[in-house]
Amino acid sequence: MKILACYSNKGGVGKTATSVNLALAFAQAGFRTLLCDLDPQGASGYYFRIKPSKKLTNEKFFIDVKNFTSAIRGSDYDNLDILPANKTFRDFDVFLSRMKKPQTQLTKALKNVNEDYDILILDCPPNISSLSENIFRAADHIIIPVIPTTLSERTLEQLIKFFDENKINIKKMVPFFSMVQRQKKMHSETMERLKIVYPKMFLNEPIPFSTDIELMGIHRAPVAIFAKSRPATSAYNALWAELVTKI
Amino acid sequence: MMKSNNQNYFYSGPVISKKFGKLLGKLTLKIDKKKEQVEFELLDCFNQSIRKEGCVLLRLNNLLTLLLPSGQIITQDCPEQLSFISLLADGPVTKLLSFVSPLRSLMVVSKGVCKQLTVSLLDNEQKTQSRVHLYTFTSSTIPSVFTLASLVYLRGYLSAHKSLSQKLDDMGFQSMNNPSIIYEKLIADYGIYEPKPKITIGYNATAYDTANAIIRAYLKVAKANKFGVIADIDSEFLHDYRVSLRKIRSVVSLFKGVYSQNQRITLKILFSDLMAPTGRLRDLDVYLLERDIYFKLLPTSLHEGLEYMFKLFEAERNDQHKALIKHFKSSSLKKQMCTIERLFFEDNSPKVGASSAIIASKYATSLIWKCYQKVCTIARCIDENTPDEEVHELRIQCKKLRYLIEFFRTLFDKKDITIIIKSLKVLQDTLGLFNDYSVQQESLKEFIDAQALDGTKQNIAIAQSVGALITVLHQRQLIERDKVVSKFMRFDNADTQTKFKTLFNR
Repeated sequence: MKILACYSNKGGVGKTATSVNLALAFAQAGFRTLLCDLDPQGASGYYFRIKPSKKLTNEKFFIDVKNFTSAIRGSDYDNLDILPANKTFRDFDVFLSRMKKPQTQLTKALKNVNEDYDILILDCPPNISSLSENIFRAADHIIIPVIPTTLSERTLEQLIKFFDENKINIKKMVPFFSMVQRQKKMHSETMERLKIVYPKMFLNEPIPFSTDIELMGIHRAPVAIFAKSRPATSAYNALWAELVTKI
Repeated sequence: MMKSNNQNYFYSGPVISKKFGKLLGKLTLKIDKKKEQVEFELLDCFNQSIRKEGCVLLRLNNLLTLLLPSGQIITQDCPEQLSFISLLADGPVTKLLSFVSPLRSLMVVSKGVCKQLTVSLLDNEQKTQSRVHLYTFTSSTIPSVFTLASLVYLRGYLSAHKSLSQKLDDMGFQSMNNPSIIYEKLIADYGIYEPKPKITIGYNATAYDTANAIIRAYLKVAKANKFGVIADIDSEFLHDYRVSLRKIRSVVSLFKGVYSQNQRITLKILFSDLMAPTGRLRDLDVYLLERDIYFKLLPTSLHEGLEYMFKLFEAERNDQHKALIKHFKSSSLKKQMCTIERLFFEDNSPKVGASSAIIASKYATSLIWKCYQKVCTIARCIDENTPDEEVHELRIQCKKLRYLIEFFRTLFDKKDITIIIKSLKVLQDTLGLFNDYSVQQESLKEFIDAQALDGTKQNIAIAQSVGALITVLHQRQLIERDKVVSKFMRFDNADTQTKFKTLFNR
């Protein structure tokens, strides 16, 4: 099982949209896929019309195998299951701080489904915390949406520094450009610059800023379901195809 | 695309969607009908390898659909013409069908139209909690309508799954434990094809009864393969046709005294005449099947001649096939078949010989024991200086021994016979290769001799390539020749000797 974490310490960069659309792309390609929503806002689950888990509360996520596995729900799409989040996920840092070896608790919890899936996608909350460190250690690859703006660039720098300081393999980082508006000069210039500053690090395929992606909330489905032939779907498929070659 | 956790049901008839109703407990039933019915083809190879594996292969329009014994349904786009699995595009179905012999072509064993329907159980968020895909097949060849229901379990929604399962039960659906029931329901004359039919020999059966039973069983196999030879579906039809006739010929020649002397001669001629027109076509089939191997045996610089040679083989094969079809339709063959029919299926039974009334088991033990002793006598005299003719003789005797054991296998302990055959097969494999290399060299020499080697570019290239090929084949033959003694010593171990003695030296 490969673990891919969709992560950014900045909010509103398209983490959930990426998690949801990549998860469907993997499932449609025949991979048994689990999308694990770690963000207490529960947007991933919402997009798939799955209600928050009532039983997988507080530290049970890390210590109760039965509760963890029975909280998983089949999505409407073949090969794709979801582990929905709930509000108690916001206190993960508190629970982790009480445990022995707090940095590896997520790895331990995810081992419960190792045999059931080929791909596990983690939709992560936007912060740098104990949970994030767990995520960085558990994941094989960390998919990082980067809006080509100065602030996002700064966020990426902070993340690289964090990896460096905590001796986490920087090669795990797989950034890509998200919510790109090509007509904006700043976006084009930032993309050019970042590709030079971080050679070979960024995926080539960008995800455009798209109304269709915003409409996911209305349709409560990935873009490939309601906007199959639209640019957003093509972009996610291209991103997926490139990602597959990297993992 | 892959659907997991399927549980399949079937219903012998069409399904009326209204019968599902609108509600199931607190959940809403949503019915999605596909507007148009699609054409379906039910597929298998002639040896029924897909069905025997517990799988079902269908093509719904351009979607290849494989039902696995576990209930899983795997699909793959398939716009191409179907023939051999190796020619299918890469995909999950192609991968799972890797067990199918590369020599076997897919065939349409039934066809008709299929109506598709999906029934989903939705909660108040319009989330699907359980779903069943229904496929109603209407055969165009027999008056049969059959519905397959594939119930998909969505993880975490066990209660909804059970409700929908109960609903199917209430509607008269039955659980499908073996998907191959689809073949049974949609094929007109559903029967199991067995190229090596199991011949049950009764306790009091005589050698004569047994010989007739074996011949009848293999005549049926030969007959079953004839249409495939004519339609040229794959090379295995001719192969099985010939193997059946060869086995019949072996019965006639090995079961001495069972038929009268004159009858034996007549039968030998009759079956040899049936086989003769197929020989060259089979040789050419083998050449063409081994095309890649021949190319690998020679350096690229000598490939040009092989290309020419294979073009000639292809052309000759087409001519041979046409000639065989003509022969199959000829009055002489019809006459021969009538004679055989009367002898083995009607009242003009073959004339009996002196040993005809011997009880089969007694006859079998004596015959097999004699044959085994002959194998050992020849083999124990073979060393590095023995002429090749003796090795060929050993191969022929081993083949006779194998046939005899297989003909009478149901009379003996299954486990012992399996061990003996396995052990004999190892020796036969080496002898078979030795013979193949030898036959191939001979026939390539004949091929060169038959060509008008007039110094054209093509003929020079052929002569060079075939010359090199004969050299390589000769080297390979020598390698196999060197293995014969050691392979026989492995076969001739104390355990096998004891097994032969216990089983056949009574």
